[in-house]
Amino acid sequence: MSRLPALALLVAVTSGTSAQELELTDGSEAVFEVPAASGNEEVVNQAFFFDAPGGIRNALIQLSDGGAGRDIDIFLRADQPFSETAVADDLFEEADFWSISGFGDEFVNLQDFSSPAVGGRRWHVAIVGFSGPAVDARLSLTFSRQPAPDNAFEVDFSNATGAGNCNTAPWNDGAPYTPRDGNDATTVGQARRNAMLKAAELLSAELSSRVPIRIRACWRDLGPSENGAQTLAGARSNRLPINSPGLPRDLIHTQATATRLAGTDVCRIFGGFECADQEVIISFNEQAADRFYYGFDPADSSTPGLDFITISMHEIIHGLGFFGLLGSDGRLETVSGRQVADVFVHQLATLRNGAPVRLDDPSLSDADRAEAVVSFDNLLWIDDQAAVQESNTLLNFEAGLVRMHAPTPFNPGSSVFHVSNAYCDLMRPTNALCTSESLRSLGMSRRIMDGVGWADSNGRLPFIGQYFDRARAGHGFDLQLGGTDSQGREVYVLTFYSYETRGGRPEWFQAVGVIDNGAFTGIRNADGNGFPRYLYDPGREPPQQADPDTFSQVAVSLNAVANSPACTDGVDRRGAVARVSFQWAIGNQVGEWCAEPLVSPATRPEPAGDFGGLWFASEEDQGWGFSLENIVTEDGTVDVFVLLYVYAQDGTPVWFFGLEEDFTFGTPTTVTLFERTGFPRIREFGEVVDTEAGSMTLTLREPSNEPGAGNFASVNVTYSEGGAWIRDETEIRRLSLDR
Amino acid sequence: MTTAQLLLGLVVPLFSAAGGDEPASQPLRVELKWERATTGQGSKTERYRTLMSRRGIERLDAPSLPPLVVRRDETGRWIIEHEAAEADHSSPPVQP
Repeated sequence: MSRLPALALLVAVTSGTSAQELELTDGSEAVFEVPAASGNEEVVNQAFFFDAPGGIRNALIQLSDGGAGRDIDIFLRADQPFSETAVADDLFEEADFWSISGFGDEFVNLQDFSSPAVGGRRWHVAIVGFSGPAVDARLSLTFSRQPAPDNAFEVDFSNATGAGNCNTAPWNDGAPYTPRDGNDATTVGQARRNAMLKAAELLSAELSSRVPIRIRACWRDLGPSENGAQTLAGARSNRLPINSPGLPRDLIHTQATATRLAGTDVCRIFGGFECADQEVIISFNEQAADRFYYGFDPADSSTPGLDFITISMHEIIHGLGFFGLLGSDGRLETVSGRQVADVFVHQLATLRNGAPVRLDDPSLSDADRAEAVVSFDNLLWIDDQAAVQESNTLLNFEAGLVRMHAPTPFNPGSSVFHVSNAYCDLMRPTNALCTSESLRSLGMSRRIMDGVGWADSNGRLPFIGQYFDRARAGHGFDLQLGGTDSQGREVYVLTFYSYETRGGRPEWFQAVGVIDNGAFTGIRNADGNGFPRYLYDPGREPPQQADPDTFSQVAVSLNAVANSPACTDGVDRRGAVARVSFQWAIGNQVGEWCAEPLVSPATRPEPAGDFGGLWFASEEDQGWGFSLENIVTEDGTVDVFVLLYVYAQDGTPVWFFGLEEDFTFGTPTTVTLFERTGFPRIREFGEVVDTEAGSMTLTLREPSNEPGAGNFASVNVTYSEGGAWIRDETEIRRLSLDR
Repeated sequence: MTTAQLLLGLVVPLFSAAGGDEPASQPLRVELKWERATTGQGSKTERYRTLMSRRGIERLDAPSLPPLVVRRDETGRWIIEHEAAEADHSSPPVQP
């Protein structure tokens, strides 16, 4: 239930026009008559709209005729109203989402991970009634700030759609079963169903969907054991949609992904009456039925049979999206006469002159792709969010990107659509050489699923400002909005303050990046590093230049946070305003932290008086700066927290911090600065030692990004290991934009 | 806890967002203005199919990866992996 007050429906008629405008608000419900229509006649109404606040994760809009049996549809358009003369044909052209079943019961989830994302925009609603008598209909709207629930999957054991070649009898096998390892069934059929449901439950803990993803579970005759080998199971997506609502343009997706991103089910996306259509079809071999182990615990050498749950999970993931259309010849799929890629192949890359190039990039030929898929070490997953994980044991190879399975010769069964055998997780090509437990988890493949349509969010990060991890208090990072790129995407600047492993001296790193697939990642510089530290030499231009010698990358992800290892480490994180996964790689070190905002946005001043953000001096005195957070206290005064990012005598980056309570804006105010020595970032919970190091005097008159606003800083701070940073009445301005 | 304690200790966030649930309002009956249009021949499903095609929306048939197969390796361990079929699966394979 939303925390927003449920407001009554507001009704207004726009002055000066005859257009009717009706605003829906969270929790509101409107009842109205859909007038009769006959023959080829249809009735259309476009009166409703609603404003989705920036922070919401879902808007569920439902239209129902209460079972009267009238065929009514709903269309939704972001930002702009539908054309005034629109009929259903025009609505189709203009809509971003719709629900168009053959019934009078429609729904759409507008979500933060769909495109366009739900929040921070106006949505326009159009309703169409097809031929039939007049009926009363209800239209309702519900906002949610919660992530999608953990019940993404439904299993159909009864072949509800009556599809051929689907034997359901083994799910009801009445032979006795002795309960074991968590499966308390007493018949073999029940044990199989329990194990299948357990597989779905384990996947639900890692992947979310507001619309249930249905799995048709069948048994079929897939053959006997021959030459010591026997087929166990296979799965596939029911269909492969392209360009349906919520999908990125011109990329083939699985049906499950299309359902998830459209926010409604198959018959409501594509029109029709087959609302029981499943997204994924999995088939097990009847002739191998006795070879499976149905216990809930992962199988080991002592368990009789082959791990049914792990096999089911692996196959279902293929059916959900760990799958594509690329073979040994390197040809892409042809749709309506055009070569198009699927979303999985779109995320594959190969290194050209040391830089990753997407496999569907026009510069690559079929021969280039054919070479990559048998290259062993040059078929990579392009997303740095996947790369910067502790489980990526190949971080120091191939630009740090996750290596995919590309054996020579090409193996049609396993090549491309598995991670390399170098990793142990659910989506490796074989079960060999890994523990049973590791094969039960998506592991690094979870981030690969983010890239093919399973990201938990595709909108803005929930918080712009300073973050920290309770298990590493003393380290932290500041994430600020810096501008937009040529594609209109928001560009962020992330500054990480931490400590060197040896000696605990303070150091800082900085990344510039964008949010894609639910995660901020640093844009790689010419050296291939996305999260460099900068070294300062006043005798060169510019004086600060990225350290080329240390591999670095960073990701701040909204995906799979709640169940991530970092956020389930036993640390009490109750009361967190929001949580993100902070993944970093620096040299040979990799970390994944559970980070949260340092202060609540509710404690900030109003935007016009919000001085928070990154500040710098000028192009002539670049390379240093500070981040500032201002907090309105209960008595109305403002406290200011400053992190100053400068350099030691040897040019290496160091930082200082200071806090001034009851800060006075508009006049010079001095903040005492401290140097902090801390504990390595690869550890949890450690000591920090603070030493007074100097001060900075700030004159802050206007939170402006322009010079001439009257903002000045004087700095006089000394680093204990050598070097002082001194500036006198230097004009400063804000680097980051309003947040 | 003062801001100083909070930030210098870097321990906990200052406040959680406040607020609470309120009951939903009653449905409101509204009179809508409807436009009427007469469409061409053909069922809604046929029309929608044409309109979807115009937007580049298609549903392709889905091949599957070759199925999982179990066999013993040279050490006698059970190995489970996708069968290496002879056909290239970029051509839609026969469903296992």
